[in-house]
Amino acid sequence: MTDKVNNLEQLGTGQAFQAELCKMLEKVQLLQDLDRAEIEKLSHFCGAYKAESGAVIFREGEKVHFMGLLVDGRVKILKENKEVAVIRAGKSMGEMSMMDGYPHSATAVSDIDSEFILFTRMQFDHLCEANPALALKLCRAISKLMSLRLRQTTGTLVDYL
Amino acid sequence: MSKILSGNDSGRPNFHELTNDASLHKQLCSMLDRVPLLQEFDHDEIECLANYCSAYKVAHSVKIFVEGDRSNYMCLLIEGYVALMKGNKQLGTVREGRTMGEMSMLDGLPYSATAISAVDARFILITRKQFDAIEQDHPRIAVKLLHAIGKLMSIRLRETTDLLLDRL
Repeated sequence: MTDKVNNLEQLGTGQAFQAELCKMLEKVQLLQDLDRAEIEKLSHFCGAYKAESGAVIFREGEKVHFMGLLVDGRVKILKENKEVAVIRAGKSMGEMSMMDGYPHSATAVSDIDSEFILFTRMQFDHLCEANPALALKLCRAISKLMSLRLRQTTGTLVDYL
Repeated sequence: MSKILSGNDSGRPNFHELTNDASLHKQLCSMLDRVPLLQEFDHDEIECLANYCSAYKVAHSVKIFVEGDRSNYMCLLIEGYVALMKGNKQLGTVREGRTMGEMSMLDGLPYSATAISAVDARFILITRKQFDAIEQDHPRIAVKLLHAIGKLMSIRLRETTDLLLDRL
């Protein structure tokens, strides 16, 4: 059974795909502090997907709460049709919506054929229940990422004050 | 009532720790109870959290933390308001129930701004050590706290990004 998120095609499921999924997770910068055993545990709470060039991964204003970890390819981030960022392999997208539960603040479109891992908010909640220590590590990594980005935006903004 | 502690957790002599007697725990709980950040926390979780933090008051114009300093704590403002300064520019104002210093606590980098009390202020302080201890002892509560802080930062990130885009 494949689980469709925003019409994105799932790469694989079940035990047979587990090793591949772990390999993908290991390529993600956000998860670099996780050891092999933790990656293996985490792999039960996420799914791997692919998007062809031009496919929308999530849309600005859309209330679907998941974050994406780009493993392969390139994704453009658009706000009101203006390109505001490019996500490269190993980086994450959509983490704000996952953390605060508000709609996605921008649209993510795959620029070339891309492969990525998706964490839904529900999967994250399950992880919190099942393995709070691991959820904590993931949550810390996401928070750190956002904190660094907040420093950048505030730092740039202060120049305009 | 307050008393000056020479060796308080914050390492700042102009922080006055609030009453350090048996009623402190109860006071802390009722303060934590009023913080919007913790609105999803039930009574037991608040009770637990209270074991890992302390409350202080400062007069106005006291620096609560200083831009560029190595960070050791985050604060929840209970009463009063606090100006956030970057260089000589005021970035914003922290109001009752809001947090300050949480970014440094999360990314380990020095404070990005200076926090100065604009009036007499009371706040709850959680040191990095205390936060680590919560993580160790109560991961479930720690992840809930972290998620709440993350949500707050995320909203702030949306705001600053929007402001920035308006100017680009």
